[in-house]
Amino acid sequence: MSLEALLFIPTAFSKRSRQEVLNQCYVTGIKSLAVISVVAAFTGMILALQTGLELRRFGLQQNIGTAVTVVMLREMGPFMTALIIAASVGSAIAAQVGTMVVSEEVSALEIMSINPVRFIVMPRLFALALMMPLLAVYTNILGILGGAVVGATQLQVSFQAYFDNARLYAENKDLYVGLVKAFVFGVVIATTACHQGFSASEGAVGVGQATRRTVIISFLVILVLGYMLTRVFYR
Amino acid sequence: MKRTRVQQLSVEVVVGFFVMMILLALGTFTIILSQDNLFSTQHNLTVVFDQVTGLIKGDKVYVKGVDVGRVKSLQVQRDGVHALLTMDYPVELREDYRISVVPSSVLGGKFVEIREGSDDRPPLPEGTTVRGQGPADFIAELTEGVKAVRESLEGGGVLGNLEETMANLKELTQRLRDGEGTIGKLLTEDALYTNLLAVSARLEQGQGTLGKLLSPDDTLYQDLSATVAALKETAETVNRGEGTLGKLIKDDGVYKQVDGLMGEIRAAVDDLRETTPVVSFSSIFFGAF
Repeated sequence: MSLEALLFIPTAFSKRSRQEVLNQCYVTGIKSLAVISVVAAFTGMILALQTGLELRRFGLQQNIGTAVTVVMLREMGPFMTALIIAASVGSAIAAQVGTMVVSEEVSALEIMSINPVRFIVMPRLFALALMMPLLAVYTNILGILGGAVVGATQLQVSFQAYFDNARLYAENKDLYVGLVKAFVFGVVIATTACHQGFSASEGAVGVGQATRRTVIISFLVILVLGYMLTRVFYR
Repeated sequence: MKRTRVQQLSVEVVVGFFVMMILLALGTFTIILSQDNLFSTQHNLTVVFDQVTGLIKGDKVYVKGVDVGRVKSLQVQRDGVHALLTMDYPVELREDYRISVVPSSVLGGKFVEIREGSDDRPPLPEGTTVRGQGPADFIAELTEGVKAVRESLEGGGVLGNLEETMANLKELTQRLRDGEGTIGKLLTEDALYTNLLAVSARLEQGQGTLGKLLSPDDTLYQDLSATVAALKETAETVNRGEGTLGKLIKDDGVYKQVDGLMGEIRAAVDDLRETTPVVSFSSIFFGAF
């Protein structure tokens, strides 16, 4: 299904598809910003506080800049974003598609010779694949800023020292490997949600089960793929 | 849910704005993480090290203790490790320059320290290969130190001396424990301690000569002081050659007179010794009659 949807990607900005693609980008990206902002900022703050408190025992709390930045870029940024999007957007896609299936809207589309994969799956897949890396960048920025605030207010690490230290060991590789992960997670969430939605049956109960399975499967695949991608890029 | 044209346009604008902002942030992020400073002139310097022992790309470069740049890249070549340093400070190396890789802490981490050299030395000629020194290997130095200590202990006789000292110390403590010797008795016998206590009590009470010396009544001290002063005065008088004793010591004339007197006495005694038998015989002879 995803492979078939990929074939329709070139038509994403055609006159027929552009509106739906932008709507999905809006739902996936803009409407998730509030919850992502809170989660990202507090993830960075928790990381800075936990790491900083331990490092302070050895007088090394000025190194929290590196610790928070590297962890956010490599792992926590894309991972936390993926969890939030899987729980909010993925479940919503599964419920929406499942409802369309059980109410036979998909069958109606097929009768009208409209390819449901192009009409339903492609915009969601495109939107998630595009917005996930962008949201991961946003998560990274807020997480790093959250860590800087904790460093300055609770660990006596100035902003200057924090960001100087953050630049010391973080690399572009960390940033872009994280974005690759976010892209892969986006594809996984869209694929899982659409697949579960199309597999829904037995009315509202089936839609509920599809939604639940989407969240569970997405979380598990994100975790496993997260490890495997880290293993591939950081041997 | 069908959106109006205006609503749809606002969705497109918001999504477009968000994407543009994030792409801008991504570009900024990329520039920052690439360790490049686009707003100031960067100076490059390639330094060849024999070995760098863990120096990595992105480590700091210090000149006079100030962070002036980063290690841009490291390349292993036949003649050593070529480290490209980018700095926002134009270093001017002199002939006695020194560039070294320094450990930043015991836990790890390195930085490059540049000493440009003395101002009275000529600048480094253009095109000269700048060579740096690798860091000191703390573990290797520690191992060497331990090895040297071990060799001196085992081969230098230190261990033997130490064993003998320990044996002597053991014997000494054993004797002390057994109450042998003065200190041993002091430790084990109460009688010595009691005696010392009694002596110190007597001293404190001003009994005996030492006690009187130590007591607040300073009569003895005054007497001794006066005596010493009188002796000193006498010695000074003698030293000045005054008085009979002084003249005897200082004046050669008196010495000569005494010497002459002694010679005459010696001659008189000799004469007496020679005449004594004649006088004795005459006395006996004439006594018979």
